Amino acid sequence: MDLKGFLKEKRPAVLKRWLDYVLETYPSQTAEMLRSVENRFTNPVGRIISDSLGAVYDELIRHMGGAGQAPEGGLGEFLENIIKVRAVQEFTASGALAFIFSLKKAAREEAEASGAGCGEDFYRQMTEFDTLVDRLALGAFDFYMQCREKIYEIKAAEVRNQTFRLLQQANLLVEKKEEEHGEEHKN
Amino acid sequence: MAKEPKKEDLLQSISYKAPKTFWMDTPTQIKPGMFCWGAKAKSMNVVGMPNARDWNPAEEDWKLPENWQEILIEGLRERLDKYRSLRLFLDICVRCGACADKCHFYIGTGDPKNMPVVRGELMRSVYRKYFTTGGKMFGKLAGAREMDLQVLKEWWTYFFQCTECRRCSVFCPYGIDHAEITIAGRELLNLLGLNIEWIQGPVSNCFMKGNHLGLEPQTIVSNIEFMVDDIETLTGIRINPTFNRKGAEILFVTPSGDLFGDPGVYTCMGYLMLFHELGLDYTWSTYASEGGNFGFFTSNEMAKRLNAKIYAEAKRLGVKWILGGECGHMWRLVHQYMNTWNGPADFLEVPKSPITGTVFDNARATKMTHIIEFTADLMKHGKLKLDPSRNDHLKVTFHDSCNTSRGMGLLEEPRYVLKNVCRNFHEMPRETIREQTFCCGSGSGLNAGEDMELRLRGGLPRANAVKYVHDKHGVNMLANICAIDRATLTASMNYWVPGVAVAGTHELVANALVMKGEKKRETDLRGEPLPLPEEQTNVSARAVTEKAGGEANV
Repeated sequence: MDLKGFLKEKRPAVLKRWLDYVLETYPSQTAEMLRSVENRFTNPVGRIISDSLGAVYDELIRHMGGAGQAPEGGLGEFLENIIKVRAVQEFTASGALAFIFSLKKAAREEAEASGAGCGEDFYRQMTEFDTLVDRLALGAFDFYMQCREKIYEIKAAEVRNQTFRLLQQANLLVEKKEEEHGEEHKN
Repeated sequence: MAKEPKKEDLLQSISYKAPKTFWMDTPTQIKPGMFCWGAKAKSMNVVGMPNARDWNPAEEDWKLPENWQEILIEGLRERLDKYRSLRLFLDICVRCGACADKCHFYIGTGDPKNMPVVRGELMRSVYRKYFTTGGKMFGKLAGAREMDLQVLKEWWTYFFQCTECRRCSVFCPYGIDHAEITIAGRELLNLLGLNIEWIQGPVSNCFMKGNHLGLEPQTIVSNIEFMVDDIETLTGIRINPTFNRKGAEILFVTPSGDLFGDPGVYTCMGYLMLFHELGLDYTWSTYASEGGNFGFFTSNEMAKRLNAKIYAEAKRLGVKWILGGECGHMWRLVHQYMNTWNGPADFLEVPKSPITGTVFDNARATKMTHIIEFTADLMKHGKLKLDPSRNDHLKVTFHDSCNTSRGMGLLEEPRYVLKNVCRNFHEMPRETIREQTFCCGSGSGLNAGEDMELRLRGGLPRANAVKYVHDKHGVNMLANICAIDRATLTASMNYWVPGVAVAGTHELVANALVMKGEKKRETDLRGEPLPLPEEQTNVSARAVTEKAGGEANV
């Protein structure tokens, strides 16, 4: 069996292993809570994690074989929701994104467990798969940085909103500055 | 298959796994982005707080008094005797965990100490050690522990990671109100001078100037005049509000956030336009210039002190009753505490709408009515001429603020008002609104800038529900009746659901309000162009979607 077929067939098992690796980064009581994903509104983080992993997994498989290559950085968008969450949670940058690489481990472990992980061709395909995961991680890193930058933007905007009226009044005679501010505001 | 390098070889000692230690043995980390700056000496001195000094929570030395443990334990003893509810809440919790996953901070942070039950255990463990026989004898085995510096820092960290929203209490089979534990915890921390500046600063400003920002009377007047100018540009109508006018029928009190910050100012313009249109005999006060009360996040006594100005000013001006603006915690205080603290307000009359004649019997004790009840009553009696098509560019949902929904049951009135002024209204899923509403994540004085990461984590569950209606119905406006919501949900939306703006309900009322003698409106209150008639055609006459909550129950 080729790797693509294997990953399709073993989707639930590989995803479960991957999810376990993601949940390991949370305290055990929390991991338990995050697993129960029936209600997307009362357990948004759990649901976002499981939905995101599933979507990314399917997208990765779609890019395997044939055309073979994922568009440059293009896989990152499927991870946006989960990264948005992890970018504000209690993780270092590497800690927030390390879970992406766990997919390699999850796939290999499942291959070993089911006896599929042998043969030179399988190994070559696994290397291709690794490359896709690496690309995914690079895209994820870009998005992670966007999230972090957004937080600082929001902080600055909030200070401006809180005091805008007062500044506007204090600088009533400095019309030029107001116009500039208006332009900035629109942008 | 080639030999794979072992994980240990690659990562050596690096691990991304979470610690597996028991919560009591997991040390608290005070991290940037997750805490607010410590209260400053000058702010503490204004209101005579103990241990006034400048201090930094990130530093090891918090400059505590030498006998701080004694102060804290005695403070706890005093409160256990004074508040039966506190002792009861500390005694009866069976740690069933029903509250655990109901807290927005726990959902957002994943930190087990943010489970309400564990946050309660922070105090309960100390209570057991000093006040129960089992705890004294068996210590940790009985879930008891000494009050040491590490525990104190844990208290400080987590009692300032609770917005006192009371969502957990809705699900507690015993009805334990964990907000009361947080309130008591913060009171105790204040005995040691451990407030945050974002609360202490507004408290001292409020005490000196009457409002959180410390706006002086002339600034308040000029701020409102500025809005009056904007209203004239928009409508061609000049409004002439009065200030500190003796003999007015009604005193209007609103949170000062409405006076200076965006988007609160648009809500304030809404009040001004509505009152003008009604010809209401009311006055602003530049002394009782704050409906909010950060004293409530400091101590019961402080809240009482700061709240007193409202009745004092009503008496000085000789008004008949008090109308209050859109605010959250202000209303919990009016509804649940004001009469006991500062009453009886026997010099006032039971609020009666001069327009409809409706008597607000529910405000018989406090003599203070929420503007959303007042406006809903006007609409019910057909006293306002409204053109809801002016809000057709908006697809609106409503965020119940914790205090007005869980604290006083204002559930229908804001929805009734919104449905009268907007033709596109979509409810968020039912498990995230009304009594079960999720907090904005920044209430109870945590709406500072330095704790933005905490706020974004806490705001996630609310934002997640907004995102659902944004994706499903194109919702682009999050309406509310709370000044803190207006200030903080904007940040939360910017991060989690870009494309959704935040508005006070009276901003949308004013958009729709057809005023006598007004010129043709070309923009809404924000200066955004009004939708052209052909753009309004997609909207059914009254497209109020009330079943969204049911559909959303996935």
